Amino acid sequence: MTVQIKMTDVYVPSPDVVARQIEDEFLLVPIAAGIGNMEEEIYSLNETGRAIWEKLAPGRSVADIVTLLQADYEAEEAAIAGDVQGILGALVEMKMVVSG
Amino acid sequence: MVADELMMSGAALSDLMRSMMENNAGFRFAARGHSMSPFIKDADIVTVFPKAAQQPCVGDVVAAHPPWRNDAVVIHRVVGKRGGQFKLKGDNVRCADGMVSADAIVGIVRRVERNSRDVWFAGGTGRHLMAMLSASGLLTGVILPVLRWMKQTIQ
Repeated sequence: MTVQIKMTDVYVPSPDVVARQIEDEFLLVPIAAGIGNMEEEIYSLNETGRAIWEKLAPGRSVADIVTLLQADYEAEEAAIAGDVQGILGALVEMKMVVSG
Repeated sequence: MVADELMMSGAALSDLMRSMMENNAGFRFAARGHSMSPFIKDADIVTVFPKAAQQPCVGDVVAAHPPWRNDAVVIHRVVGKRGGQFKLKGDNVRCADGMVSADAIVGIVRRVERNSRDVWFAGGTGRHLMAMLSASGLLTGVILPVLRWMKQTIQ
């Protein structure tokens, strides 16, 4: 299943996820039944994923995030939009982000 | 994006555990080492929960980040309390670690699993007795050697 991410959509980090920079990894640890479980799946975001994660905020649309990232990175808007939609789609599927 | 076989240093594990406790969440991970054997063995799955408003009691098994172990979190038993400081000791170690402040105690172990089964680790019932036996040296000096001898004899 592929989640379609619209430019007008708004996403925020799930309250059931703890995000933390640990050494050189940016980790997302899902909290299930009140427990962060190192013996189950945890997720590591690359630099692009982390940049997107840090831009997530209530009321901030996908288009807003693309605009903010364009200011930080020298890349075409379409390329950034593609990355943002792809990574957000994966994060939605993994329940790491929710509609804001 | 899934972090397969993520290797973490003791400091990283400690950092992640602290962030879980700050979020009022438990933390489940594989323990390493033999200092709490036979109650907690190497590779047992341990679940640590945040300290409640109430401080740990004598006999509780806690996850702590003592100042002399910058790079690691230790899972040891509280065998004494004095003036807001906690004396920690591994059940399978002859000497106590020393005193730590309440801030150094990250959380309290509430569950231990081995081969997918819960293990009794004297963290609830019997914790006071176990703390006394551990602190007095009877556990490592008499009880555990006798139990090991009995086990070998039976086998």
